[in-house]
Amino acid sequence: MLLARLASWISLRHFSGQFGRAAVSILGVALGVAVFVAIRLASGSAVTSFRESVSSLAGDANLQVSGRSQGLDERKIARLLAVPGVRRADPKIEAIATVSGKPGESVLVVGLDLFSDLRVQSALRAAARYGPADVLPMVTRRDAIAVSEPFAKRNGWKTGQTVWLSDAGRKLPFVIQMLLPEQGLLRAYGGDVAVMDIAAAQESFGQIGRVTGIDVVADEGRTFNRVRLEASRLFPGAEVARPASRGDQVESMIASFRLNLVALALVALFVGAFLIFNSVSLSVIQRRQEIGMARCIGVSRTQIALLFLGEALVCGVVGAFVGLGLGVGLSRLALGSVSATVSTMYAAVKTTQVFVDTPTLVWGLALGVVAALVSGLVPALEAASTRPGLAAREGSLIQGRRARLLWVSSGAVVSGLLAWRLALWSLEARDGLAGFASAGLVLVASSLAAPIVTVGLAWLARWPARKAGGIEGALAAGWIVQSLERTAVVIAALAAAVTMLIALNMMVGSFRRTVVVWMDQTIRADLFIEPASRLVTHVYSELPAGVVNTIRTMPGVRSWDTLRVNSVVIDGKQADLYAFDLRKMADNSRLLFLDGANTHQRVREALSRDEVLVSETFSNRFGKKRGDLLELATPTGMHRFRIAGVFYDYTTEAGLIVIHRPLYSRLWKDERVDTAAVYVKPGFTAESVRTELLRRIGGRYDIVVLPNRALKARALTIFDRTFAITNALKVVAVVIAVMGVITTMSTLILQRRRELGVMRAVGASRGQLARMAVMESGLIGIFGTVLGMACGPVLAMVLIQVINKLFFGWTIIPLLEAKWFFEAAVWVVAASLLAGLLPARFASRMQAAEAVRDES
Amino acid sequence: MSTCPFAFYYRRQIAAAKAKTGNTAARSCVEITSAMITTTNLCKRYDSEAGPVVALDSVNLHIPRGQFTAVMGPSGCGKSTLLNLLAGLDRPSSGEIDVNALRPGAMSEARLTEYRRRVVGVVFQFYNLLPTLTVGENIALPALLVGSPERQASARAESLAARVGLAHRLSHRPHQLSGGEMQRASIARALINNPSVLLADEPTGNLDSHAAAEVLSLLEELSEEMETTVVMVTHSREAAAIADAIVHMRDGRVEDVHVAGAAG
Repeated sequence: MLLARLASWISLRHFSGQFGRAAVSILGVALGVAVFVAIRLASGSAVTSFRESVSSLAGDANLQVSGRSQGLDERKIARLLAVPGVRRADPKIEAIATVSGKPGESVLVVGLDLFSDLRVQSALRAAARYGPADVLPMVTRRDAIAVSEPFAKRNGWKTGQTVWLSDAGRKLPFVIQMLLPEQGLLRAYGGDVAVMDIAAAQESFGQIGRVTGIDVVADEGRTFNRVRLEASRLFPGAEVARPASRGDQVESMIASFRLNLVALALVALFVGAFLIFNSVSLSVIQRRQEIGMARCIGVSRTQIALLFLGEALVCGVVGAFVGLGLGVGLSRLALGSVSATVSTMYAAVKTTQVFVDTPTLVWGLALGVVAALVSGLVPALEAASTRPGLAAREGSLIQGRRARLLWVSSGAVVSGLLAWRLALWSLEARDGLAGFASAGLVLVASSLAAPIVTVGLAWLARWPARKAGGIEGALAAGWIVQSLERTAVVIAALAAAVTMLIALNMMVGSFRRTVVVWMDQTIRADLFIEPASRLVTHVYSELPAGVVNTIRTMPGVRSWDTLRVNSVVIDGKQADLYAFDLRKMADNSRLLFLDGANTHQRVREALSRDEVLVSETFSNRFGKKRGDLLELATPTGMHRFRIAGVFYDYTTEAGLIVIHRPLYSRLWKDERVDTAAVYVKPGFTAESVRTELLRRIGGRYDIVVLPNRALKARALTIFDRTFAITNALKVVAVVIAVMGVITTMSTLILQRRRELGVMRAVGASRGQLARMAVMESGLIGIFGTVLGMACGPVLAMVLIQVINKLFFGWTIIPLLEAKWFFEAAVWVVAASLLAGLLPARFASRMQAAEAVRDES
Repeated sequence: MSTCPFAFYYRRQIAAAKAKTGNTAARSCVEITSAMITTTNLCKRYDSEAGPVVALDSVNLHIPRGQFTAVMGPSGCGKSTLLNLLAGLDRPSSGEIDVNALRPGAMSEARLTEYRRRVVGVVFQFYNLLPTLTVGENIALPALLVGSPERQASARAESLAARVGLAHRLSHRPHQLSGGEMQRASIARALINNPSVLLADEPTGNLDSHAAAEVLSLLEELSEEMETTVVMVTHSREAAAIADAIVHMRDGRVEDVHVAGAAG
């Protein structure tokens, strides 16, 4: 009760007079929370969409047999049905096709048994306006499809209309027979679904005699595992799992991606916390006399501390709630980018809506509040340490500055050393969270180093500031040190933002450069041919045999190779399987092995002993190295392969196994091709061969022929899109820090009323005071940038050598480019100078008489 | 075109000097060192939530050139307001101020800044030295603000510091000085641009009697040496005793003017 009254007297009245500062602090927390919430919601929505899609398609099935690329033999379905405990086994064809004439539009075509499949029948029942006469053509016509109503509406389609879909390089005409409401299985793939009869689908999508999956309804209980084992035995090499586990698999695959984005988002909150720190400590300084008086009349230390913590809490709670709202809004903006990245890198998913989950909101709220309380703790304790009756003057509270400077600087050294030890330990123990703690400690060390660095830089800057800015410049540099308690905090915030800016630039830039070097070394073919649908769906699909035959007979082709992409599951984790002709690959291209071995030598070894090669990411993810054995499930049974070598690869973080094509075809009974690569004869140009190839293929197939440069450019476009969201994080961190400059400078101007009044009295013009404020703000920007520039590469090394290694397993060659530093310096210093304009206006408009009158 | 940075001021000064003395040779900037201050029906009102507050009410004063004038009166009588108006820190609500034929109350902001730089020097009760600057830098500050070359400003600051007895304290920071020393530094700062008017607001109000006596003596000596007109606001009778004239104020009005040596 007493505390509430004190809060009302001391805090609330003061708070209402400082609305601007409180608003900036609240906004700082809000932006930090918003970024966190937006990233979690956007990435979580991609996973939820995938789960919903799987569950909509699965209906009441509790077991799914997925045929991967090679499909499943439909003749075995009867044997599966005969397994005790199996109540139903519904075969299906699933294909993601692109829509001709609608760039970027794709649709999931599902082929089901229209007579027996309950999911279709339920969908048909929901469309009550259709009678048996409408349904019949769905079975009798091979091109009849039923399309979800919203999808048809979006594309302007009507019943009876012929639409062209493209899959595996073929353009296929379909007639829209029915429009079905978006219910049940029609909700899969973001509602962009077309349903057709399974027999027609098999014919249309080149799966005669095969299905892509079987949805099984089996009795739960003791027989369930038996059904599972029998299904695995009947369909070797197929994935047999509960539908939910596919969602779990995608969730676990994107977990690292998500965690890293969320961790980066927390940096924005870290920067925002400085604003609260600044705001609360300023309250303490401004009310030092009130605190002293309150202590005189019996208010305890704890009550004083609680009062100021209460202020921090109010900022935190309000900021967190504002941030939650902002975050939900921002997540809609981030959804497209995150969803596209998940589709490209992990699993085909169409995310059209944000799923707002309570745990994310609770986390966002908790983080905002905790960040505010932690940042308010130090000033609150400082307030509590005020002795009763101390008549300190406003703004002159520099008690024991040297001792404090020493302590804080020692803290910086200790944090730095701890970050170093933790980084080494996390690599040894393969503990990713310790890696994040190490990165966090780098930021803490940078923040704690801010005061001593500020003192040092201000001393160094004094002479050049005086030369460049006259007496105003010298005063600006001096005032930064005089107000160290304030300026060091905003410099620390700026440094954290610049550290993040440079670290992200360095990590992404180094990664990009590494990928470019790797592509130049390994991607040597002149032309790449693949189905056009892959550009939209990012799913590998079969290249028509006609295209492969055309390539074989093309003049100007020195050599050609094919790639078949499949997947395998090892220890419950999925990895990619690439089938190449290793002989051709050794002749035409090269792999970069971790141990520096020659490509020819390693490939010869692999060929002679039927061994496989694995990527670095596979080696890290599955703990396998050269010489280890790998057991893989194939349609011809389990087979063991020795690993002949580990090579650098940046295609997929899931891990890659490369197998010789003839060996793959024999064991997987799969002759299909996804991509072809063409090496052009001397005397021919890639463009002339490409033109001829397209002429010969004509309009028969929907394929793309990409020159080497275009393929690499596409890879880099995907790379850039994956990291696009980090640009937003960088901007948010800098914006929050610059807000800190505005609020700190405005506060400093108010605190220096007297000094500024005196300056006016002894002859300083309004312009001189304004210049001084802008110079001080610019110097703050420069000091923050210098500190950030020193810490940025350190954080980048932790991101590259520790966090990336632990979570993704890539080898990134660290690079330093002057332009990253230059960009950071230009942006932050320019923003700081601009941020100084408003406070400069306050300074120049200050009434000298009032300022000097305020002497007591 | 004149090279003098405050040409408009000096042109008027020279014209005024010519008019008064008939001396057509009065051309140099440094010839004019003292002032005559006249206020006519000077009023200052502030707006407050409780209504307008009259701080000065029709103040009419005439301070001859070179005179040391003390302004006394109870707290809130308008002494500091008068000083602020004379210093060009504030503008009158009505009435006129004339300082050597200049009217600070009607000046533009830029001219008022020049007026503060060249015409007046101000000494405050709490010294108001800038803590980030050394004593030498504090003294030199007004000269640097008007754009004097650094070497010239430093030399002048050193000479003034020596004059006020602070030659050994030039590189010290204000917090390392005693109250009396800080006030002496403040006086040196006020005089660095050779102002014709020195305005002091309770210069001894924060000093012990010994330091106060030192500061007063210094003010007296310097005003004579530099032929500067001094207006000093004070509560202290001892301080006022050194003045040539004492202006008594009450409730924003001039109650009485007592000129030393005058009858009554």
